[in-house]
Amino acid sequence: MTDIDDKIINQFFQSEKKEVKDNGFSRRVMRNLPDRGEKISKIWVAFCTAAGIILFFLFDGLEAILNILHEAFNGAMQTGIAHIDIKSLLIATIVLISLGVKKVCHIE
Amino acid sequence: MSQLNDISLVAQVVVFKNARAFDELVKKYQSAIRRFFLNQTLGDSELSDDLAQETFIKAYTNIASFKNLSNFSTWLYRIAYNVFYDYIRSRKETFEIDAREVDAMHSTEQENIGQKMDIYKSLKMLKEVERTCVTLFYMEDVSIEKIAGIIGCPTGTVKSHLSRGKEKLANYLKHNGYDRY
Repeated sequence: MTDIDDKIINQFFQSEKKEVKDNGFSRRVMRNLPDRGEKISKIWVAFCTAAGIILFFLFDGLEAILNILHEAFNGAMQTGIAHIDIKSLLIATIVLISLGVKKVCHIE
Repeated sequence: MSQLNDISLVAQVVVFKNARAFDELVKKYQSAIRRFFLNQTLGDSELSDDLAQETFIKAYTNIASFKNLSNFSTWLYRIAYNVFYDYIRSRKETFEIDAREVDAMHSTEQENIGQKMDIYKSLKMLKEVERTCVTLFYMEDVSIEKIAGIIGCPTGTVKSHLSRGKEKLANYLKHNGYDRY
Protein backbone atom coordinates (compact mmCIF):
# COMPACT_ATOMS: atom_id res chain seq x y z
CA MET A 1 0.00 0.00 0.00
CA THR A 2 1.80 3.12 -1.19
CA ASP A 3 1.22 6.78 -0.43
CA ILE A 4 0.24 7.22 -4.10
CA ASP A 5 -2.57 4.65 -3.68
CA ASP A 6 -3.70 6.50 -0.59
CA LYS A 7 -3.71 9.78 -2.52
CA ILE A 8 -5.69 8.27 -5.44
CA ILE A 9 -8.35 6.88 -3.07
CA ASN A 10 -8.51 10.14 -1.12
CA GLN A 11 -8.97 12.20 -4.30
CA PHE A 12 -11.56 9.78 -5.63
CA PHE A 13 -13.70 9.92 -2.48
CA GLN A 14 -13.38 13.67 -2.01
CA SER A 15 -14.47 14.25 -5.62
CA GLU A 16 -17.47 11.97 -5.07
CA LYS A 17 -18.46 13.63 -1.78
CA LYS A 18 -21.66 15.54 -2.53
CA GLU A 19 -24.11 17.30 -0.24
CA VAL A 20 -27.45 15.48 -0.16
CA LYS A 21 -30.24 18.04 -0.53
CA ASP A 22 -32.92 17.95 2.17
CA ASN A 23 -35.92 17.83 -0.25
CA GLY A 24 -38.43 17.53 2.60
CA PHE A 25 -36.56 14.77 4.43
CA SER A 26 -36.33 16.74 7.73
CA ARG A 27 -40.05 17.50 7.59
CA ARG A 28 -40.80 13.77 7.06
CA VAL A 29 -38.66 12.85 10.07
CA MET A 30 -40.30 15.48 12.29
CA ARG A 31 -43.77 14.30 11.22
CA ASN A 32 -42.90 10.73 12.26
CA LEU A 33 -41.45 11.44 15.70
CA PRO A 34 -43.18 9.16 18.23
CA ASP A 35 -44.80 11.57 20.68
CA ARG A 36 -45.77 14.17 18.11
CA GLY A 37 -49.02 12.34 17.27
CA GLU A 38 -49.85 12.10 20.97
CA LYS A 39 -49.23 15.83 21.39
CA ILE A 40 -51.46 16.66 18.40
CA SER A 41 -54.24 14.44 19.76
CA LYS A 42 -54.03 16.15 23.20
CA ILE A 43 -54.19 19.60 21.56
CA TRP A 44 -57.18 18.48 19.46
CA VAL A 45 -59.06 17.13 22.54
CA ALA A 46 -58.37 20.36 24.45
CA PHE A 47 -59.54 22.44 21.47
CA CYS A 48 -62.77 20.45 21.07
CA THR A 49 -63.52 20.63 24.81
CA ALA A 50 -62.97 24.39 24.88
CA ALA A 51 -65.13 24.84 21.74
CA GLY A 52 -67.88 22.69 23.32
CA ILE A 53 -67.90 24.75 26.55
CA ILE A 54 -67.94 28.06 24.65
CA LEU A 55 -70.81 26.92 22.39
CA PHE A 56 -72.73 25.59 25.41
CA PHE A 57 -72.73 29.03 27.06
CA LEU A 58 -73.07 30.95 23.77
CA PHE A 59 -76.36 29.20 22.92
CA ASP A 60 -77.71 29.24 26.52
CA GLY A 61 -77.21 25.53 26.98
CA LEU A 62 -77.87 25.74 30.71
CA GLU A 63 -81.22 27.43 30.19
CA ALA A 64 -82.18 24.88 27.53
CA ILE A 65 -81.43 21.98 29.89
CA LEU A 66 -83.40 23.61 32.72
CA ASN A 67 -86.36 24.15 30.35
CA ILE A 68 -86.33 20.51 29.25
CA LEU A 69 -86.21 19.28 32.86
CA HIS A 70 -88.99 21.68 33.81
CA GLU A 71 -91.17 20.49 30.90
CA ALA A 72 -90.50 16.85 31.72
CA PHE A 73 -91.42 17.45 35.34
CA ASN A 74 -94.61 19.32 34.40
CA GLY A 75 -95.55 16.56 31.92
CA ALA A 76 -95.11 13.91 34.59
CA MET A 77 -97.23 15.91 36.98
CA GLN A 78 -99.96 16.39 34.36
CA THR A 79 -100.21 12.73 33.31
CA GLY A 80 -100.69 11.98 36.94
CA ILE A 81 -98.28 10.74 39.46
CA ALA A 82 -100.85 8.16 40.54
CA HIS A 83 -100.40 6.26 37.26
CA ILE A 84 -96.70 5.69 37.87
CA ASP A 85 -95.84 2.07 38.55
CA ILE A 86 -93.45 2.16 41.52
CA LYS A 87 -92.18 -1.36 40.80
CA SER A 88 -91.18 -0.52 37.19
CA LEU A 89 -89.55 2.73 38.33
CA LEU A 90 -87.51 0.82 40.92
CA ILE A 91 -86.35 -1.77 38.36
CA ALA A 92 -85.40 0.97 35.87
CA THR A 93 -83.42 2.83 38.59
CA ILE A 94 -81.53 -0.37 39.58
CA VAL A 95 -80.71 -1.14 35.93
CA LEU A 96 -79.46 2.42 35.35
CA ILE A 97 -77.29 2.34 38.52
CA SER A 98 -75.77 -1.04 37.60
CA LEU A 99 -75.00 0.19 34.07
CA GLY A 100 -73.38 3.31 35.53
CA VAL A 101 -71.22 1.28 37.95
CA LYS A 102 -70.18 -1.08 35.13
CA LYS A 103 -69.18 1.88 32.94
CA VAL A 104 -67.12 3.51 35.72
CA CYS A 105 -65.34 0.18 36.45
CA HIS A 106 -64.61 -0.23 32.74
CA ILE A 107 -63.09 3.28 32.49
CA GLU A 108 -60.83 2.66 35.52
CA MET B 1 -18.10 25.71 18.75
CA SER B 2 -20.14 23.34 16.62
CA GLN B 3 -19.94 20.67 19.30
CA LEU B 4 -21.08 23.16 21.96
CA ASN B 5 -24.00 24.09 19.76
CA ASP B 6 -24.90 20.39 19.40
CA ILE B 7 -24.78 19.89 23.18
CA SER B 8 -27.02 22.92 23.67
CA LEU B 9 -29.53 21.56 21.12
CA VAL B 10 -29.45 18.08 22.70
CA ALA B 11 -30.04 19.63 26.16
CA GLN B 12 -33.06 21.51 24.82
CA VAL B 13 -34.50 18.28 23.40
CA VAL B 14 -33.88 16.30 26.63
CA VAL B 15 -35.04 18.93 29.14
CA PHE B 16 -37.78 20.83 27.30
CA LYS B 17 -38.74 18.23 24.67
CA ASN B 18 -38.02 21.02 22.19
CA ALA B 19 -38.88 19.57 18.77
CA ARG B 20 -37.49 22.64 17.00
CA ALA B 21 -34.05 21.97 18.50
CA PHE B 22 -34.19 18.39 17.23
CA ASP B 23 -35.30 19.67 13.82
CA GLU B 24 -32.08 21.75 13.71
CA LEU B 25 -30.03 18.64 14.48
CA VAL B 26 -31.82 16.69 11.72
CA LYS B 27 -31.20 19.48 9.20
CA LYS B 28 -27.54 19.67 10.20
CA TYR B 29 -26.80 15.94 9.94
CA GLN B 30 -29.28 14.67 7.34
CA SER B 31 -26.82 15.02 4.47
CA ALA B 32 -23.99 13.07 6.19
CA ILE B 33 -26.29 10.30 7.45
CA ARG B 34 -28.11 9.87 4.12
CA ARG B 35 -24.77 9.86 2.26
CA PHE B 36 -23.52 7.19 4.70
CA PHE B 37 -26.54 5.00 3.89
CA LEU B 38 -26.27 5.70 0.14
CA ASN B 39 -22.72 4.36 0.25
CA GLN B 40 -23.69 1.31 2.31
CA THR B 41 -26.67 0.43 0.09
CA LEU B 42 -24.71 1.20 -3.10
CA GLY B 43 -26.97 4.10 -4.08
CA ASP B 44 -30.46 2.88 -3.16
CA SER B 45 -31.88 6.30 -2.29
CA GLU B 46 -35.32 5.11 -1.16
CA LEU B 47 -33.87 2.52 1.22
CA SER B 48 -31.26 5.04 2.40
CA ASP B 49 -33.94 7.59 3.30
CA ASP B 50 -35.97 4.97 5.18
CA LEU B 51 -32.92 3.85 7.16
CA ALA B 52 -31.86 7.47 7.80
CA GLN B 53 -35.35 8.26 9.08
CA GLU B 54 -35.21 5.25 11.40
CA THR B 55 -31.81 6.47 12.63
CA PHE B 56 -33.12 9.94 13.53
CA ILE B 57 -36.23 8.52 15.21
CA LYS B 58 -34.05 6.18 17.30
CA ALA B 59 -31.77 9.11 18.15
CA TYR B 60 -34.80 11.13 19.28
CA THR B 61 -36.25 8.37 21.47
CA ASN B 62 -32.84 7.58 23.04
CA ILE B 63 -31.43 11.09 23.16
CA ALA B 64 -31.35 11.06 26.98
CA SER B 65 -28.73 8.28 26.76
CA PHE B 66 -26.31 10.56 24.86
CA LYS B 67 -23.66 11.04 27.54
CA ASN B 68 -21.47 13.51 25.67
CA LEU B 69 -18.51 11.09 25.84
CA SER B 70 -18.28 11.35 22.06
CA ASN B 71 -19.37 13.88 19.44
CA PHE B 72 -23.04 13.94 18.61
CA SER B 73 -22.09 12.98 15.02
CA THR B 74 -20.15 9.90 16.24
CA TRP B 75 -23.11 8.87 18.40
CA LEU B 76 -25.44 9.33 15.40
CA TYR B 77 -23.15 7.28 13.12
CA ARG B 78 -23.15 4.50 15.71
CA ILE B 79 -26.96 4.40 15.64
CA ALA B 80 -26.88 4.49 11.82
CA TYR B 81 -24.39 1.61 11.75
CA ASN B 82 -26.62 -0.47 14.06
CA VAL B 83 -29.73 0.36 12.01
CA PHE B 84 -27.96 -0.75 8.82
CA TYR B 85 -26.68 -4.00 10.30
CA ASP B 86 -30.10 -4.77 11.82
CA TYR B 87 -31.50 -4.30 8.31
CA ILE B 88 -28.86 -6.56 6.75
CA ARG B 89 -29.50 -9.22 9.42
CA SER B 90 -33.27 -9.08 8.87
CA ARG B 91 -32.76 -9.43 5.11
CA LYS B 92 -30.47 -12.38 5.63
CA GLU B 93 -32.96 -14.06 7.95
CA THR B 94 -35.81 -13.46 5.52
CA PHE B 95 -34.17 -14.55 2.32
CA GLU B 96 -31.29 -16.66 3.63
CA ILE B 97 -28.87 -15.13 1.21
CA ASP B 98 -25.37 -13.97 1.88
CA ALA B 99 -24.02 -10.43 1.95
CA ARG B 100 -22.69 -10.56 -1.58
CA GLU B 101 -26.12 -11.43 -2.91
CA VAL B 102 -27.56 -8.46 -0.99
CA ASP B 103 -24.99 -6.25 -2.68
CA ALA B 104 -25.77 -7.68 -6.09
CA MET B 105 -29.48 -7.11 -5.49
CA HIS B 106 -28.92 -3.44 -4.62
CA SER B 107 -26.73 -2.93 -7.64
CA THR B 108 -29.39 -4.21 -10.04
CA GLU B 109 -31.89 -1.78 -8.53
CA GLN B 110 -29.47 1.05 -9.19
CA GLU B 111 -28.60 0.66 -12.84
CA ASN B 112 -29.71 4.13 -13.90
CA ILE B 113 -27.82 6.33 -11.48
CA GLY B 114 -25.30 7.46 -14.11
CA GLN B 115 -22.27 9.34 -12.87
CA LYS B 116 -22.44 7.93 -9.32
CA MET B 117 -22.04 4.41 -10.66
CA ASP B 118 -18.26 4.40 -10.41
CA ILE B 119 -18.22 4.94 -6.67
CA TYR B 120 -20.92 2.34 -6.08
CA LYS B 121 -19.17 -0.11 -8.43
CA SER B 122 -15.96 0.35 -6.48
CA LEU B 123 -17.72 0.04 -3.11
CA LYS B 124 -19.50 -3.10 -4.30
CA MET B 125 -16.18 -4.94 -4.30
CA LEU B 126 -15.76 -4.39 -0.58
CA LYS B 127 -17.25 -6.34 2.31
CA GLU B 128 -19.84 -4.35 4.29
CA VAL B 129 -17.54 -3.66 7.22
CA GLU B 130 -14.70 -2.60 4.89
CA ARG B 131 -17.14 -0.33 3.06
CA THR B 132 -18.23 1.24 6.35
CA CYS B 133 -14.63 1.86 7.45
CA VAL B 134 -13.48 3.18 4.06
CA THR B 135 -16.41 5.57 3.51
CA LEU B 136 -16.30 6.90 7.07
CA PHE B 137 -12.53 7.43 6.84
CA TYR B 138 -12.18 8.86 3.33
CA MET B 139 -15.51 10.51 2.69
CA GLU B 140 -16.72 11.60 6.12
CA ASP B 141 -13.22 12.31 7.53
CA VAL B 142 -13.87 10.29 10.70
CA SER B 143 -10.71 9.27 12.60
CA ILE B 144 -9.75 5.59 13.11
CA GLU B 145 -10.43 5.88 16.87
CA LYS B 146 -13.93 7.20 16.23
CA ILE B 147 -14.63 4.52 13.61
CA ALA B 148 -13.62 1.94 16.22
CA GLY B 149 -16.20 3.51 18.58
CA ILE B 150 -18.86 3.50 15.87
CA ILE B 151 -18.48 -0.12 14.80
CA GLY B 152 -17.56 -1.31 18.30
CA CYS B 153 -14.21 -2.98 17.67
CA PRO B 154 -10.51 -2.26 18.44
CA THR B 155 -8.56 0.27 16.38
CA GLY B 156 -6.30 -2.53 15.10
CA THR B 157 -9.28 -4.26 13.52
CA VAL B 158 -10.39 -1.00 11.89
CA LYS B 159 -6.88 -0.55 10.47
CA SER B 160 -7.03 -4.09 9.01
CA HIS B 161 -10.42 -3.44 7.39
CA LEU B 162 -9.13 -0.14 6.01
CA SER B 163 -5.98 -1.71 4.66
CA ARG B 164 -7.86 -4.52 2.86
CA GLY B 165 -10.45 -2.07 1.53
CA LYS B 166 -7.78 0.34 0.32
CA GLU B 167 -5.94 -2.41 -1.52
CA LYS B 168 -9.06 -3.51 -3.40
CA LEU B 169 -10.02 0.10 -4.18
CA ALA B 170 -6.53 1.07 -5.36
CA ASN B 171 -6.52 -1.86 -7.79
CA TYR B 172 -9.99 -0.96 -9.08
CA LEU B 173 -9.15 2.74 -9.50
CA LYS B 174 -5.84 2.03 -11.24
CA HIS B 175 -7.58 -0.46 -13.53
CA ASN B 176 -10.11 2.24 -14.46
CA GLY B 177 -7.56 4.94 -15.15
CA TYR B 178 -7.94 7.02 -12.01
CA ASP B 179 -4.16 7.03 -11.43
CA ARG B 180 -3.71 9.25 -14.53
CA TYR B 181 -5.43 12.27 -12.91
